[in-house]
Amino acid sequence: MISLLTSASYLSGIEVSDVSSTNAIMYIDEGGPFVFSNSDISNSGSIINDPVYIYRSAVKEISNVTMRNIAQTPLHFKTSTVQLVDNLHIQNCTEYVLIERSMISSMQNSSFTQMGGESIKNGGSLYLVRSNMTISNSNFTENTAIDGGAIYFSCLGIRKCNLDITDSHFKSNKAVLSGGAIKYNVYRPTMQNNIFENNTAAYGPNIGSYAIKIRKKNSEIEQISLDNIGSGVENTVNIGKSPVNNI
Amino acid sequence: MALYDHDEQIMTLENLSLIEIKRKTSDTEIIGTSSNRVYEGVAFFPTLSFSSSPGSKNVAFRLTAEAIDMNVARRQYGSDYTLNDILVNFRYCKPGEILENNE
Repeated sequence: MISLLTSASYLSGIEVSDVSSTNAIMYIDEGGPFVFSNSDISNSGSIINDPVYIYRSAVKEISNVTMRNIAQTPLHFKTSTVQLVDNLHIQNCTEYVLIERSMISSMQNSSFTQMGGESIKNGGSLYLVRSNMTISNSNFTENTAIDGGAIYFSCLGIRKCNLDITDSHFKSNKAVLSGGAIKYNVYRPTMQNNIFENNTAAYGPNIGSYAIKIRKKNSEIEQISLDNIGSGVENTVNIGKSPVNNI
Repeated sequence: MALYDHDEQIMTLENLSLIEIKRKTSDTEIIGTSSNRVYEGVAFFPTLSFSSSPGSKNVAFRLTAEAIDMNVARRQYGSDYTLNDILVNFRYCKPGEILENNE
């Protein structure tokens, strides 16, 4: 296990595979600013702790890192800042990347494939909790969760959170319940030039959120207005005597 | 009536929470079942009538829904975010209808 408890380091060229230890592969506490690059971590079956856990640290760059076949949360940021994530590729992991109270200034050119599962509650590939993140040019493919097949963006704290997603591709992600690609519970991510393709959910095949308004079913008019109503007279036209009339 | 999200999707997983219609001013009445539970995001109000002065326009009745958390909605959409009222335009009485208490 790599434990980094000091500052200013380069972690490069790490190749770890077929891990049988129950400890984390990397545990970094109050580290940085450091660079983690050109590394490949795969086939960790019995790790109890998160394989890469970055806590109270400043990360300058994570680049050209691949993580595969990990039966855990492959990467966990808590109360940390990351300036740049470039070419991070994670696939076939049973849980999400967990980002708690952290800031990822830019993640680009990355991919998340076949992560999570139907028993994972929030976010198949990314679970953001009270965090800020900018994502661009990244792919989310065949990830699965109960809510937020690819991404779950949670921000129930006092402070506002931001998630910006641009030029990214969400394909064949699945939520058992809500938000086939993305689910958010307070703040709506800003999204531009993204492609959503074949994502599925019981509600919100691409994006799931929460109820914000009431209006007549299948009406595009926001305001519910009833005209020519007789005072105290049951109105069979505008109010409806049966569900067919839909108000 | 249906519960909708930001993306104009009906909240099809929402069941059993209430949608309620309430009067906003004392010179109006709601007769009939004014609250109903949603099923797959939709509630129906088959027996409902509104009362106010004949000929009055844009009489507002308040809509509320248990499934809409206004605290959450206001964090996203601003502190002045509210639900739309139902606006009712009442006609004048037809021959044979009786005006009581100005309704």
